[in-house]
Amino acid sequence: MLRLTCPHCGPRDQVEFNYGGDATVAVPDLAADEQTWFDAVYIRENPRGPHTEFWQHVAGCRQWIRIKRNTQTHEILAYGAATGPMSDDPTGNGGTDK
Amino acid sequence: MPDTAPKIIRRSALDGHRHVGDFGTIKGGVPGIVIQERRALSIVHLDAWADQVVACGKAIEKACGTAPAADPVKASEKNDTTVLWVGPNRWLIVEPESRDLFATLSADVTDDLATLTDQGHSRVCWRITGPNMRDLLAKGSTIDFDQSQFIPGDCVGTLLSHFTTVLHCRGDDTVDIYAARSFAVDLDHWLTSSSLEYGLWVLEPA
Repeated sequence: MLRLTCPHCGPRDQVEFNYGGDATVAVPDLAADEQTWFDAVYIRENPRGPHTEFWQHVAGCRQWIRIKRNTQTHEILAYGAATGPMSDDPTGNGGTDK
Repeated sequence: MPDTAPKIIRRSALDGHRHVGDFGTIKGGVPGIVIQERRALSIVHLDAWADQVVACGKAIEKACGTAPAADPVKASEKNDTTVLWVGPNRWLIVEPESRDLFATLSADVTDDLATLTDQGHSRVCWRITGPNMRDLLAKGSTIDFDQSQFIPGDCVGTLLSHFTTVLHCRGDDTVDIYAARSFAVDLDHWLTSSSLEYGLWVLEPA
């Protein structure tokens, strides 16, 4: 069981959230070629260590949020709204693993 | 021609399922839990545009006498009106049905401030009181219900017995639970059966 911090509601158990995938993937330009879109939609790393992910707080405020989680230890390193600064990066550059 | 226009009748989702009385192990004549359904509530969901939150708060205050609480996960109350925080820039405004709340709000909360949705028929509300209120909630949710953590005025969206609910703490031993009406019978069954060990009074709906 993970304990995630919603930037709006505070710490909550994982059962209140849905996993939303890799938050570091940049959405390509609409005019990008097929291979670029294929990579953005389907190709994912399988990182070991810190990783920034989208989660949705479906049972609480319903907001999409970002969580930086160590995939090896499950330690929660930072959290933030879907866009904007993370808790460990007030400058708003999206977290230290970007 | 017979009158075939549909007649909308307010009917609680718990109609026909409510069993009023004393249940479980009541010690010393004092129940650990008292459950009462709050009926005929006007409920409006308000979703403010992100750049209109301040103006929207003023409009809510003008219409209802109370602005939303300044902090998230909090409710504000004045007279019979309760404004429940349900997410960033989103609130549920709740009143006992005495006026057309949706029309009243629409006059002040205009389209350029927020979107309004009438939720009056979509929610069921239980008021739970008693010394074991926090023990009961802890059976079905992972929120910390200690008196130091879940305090009067808190308004928490969470899972209760796997149902999405809004819990509004109204006092040290009083909470209002809001849930979608389609889950009402199942959640009511869970609330009553989980209360039996504390001794339970089920009152007539208010």
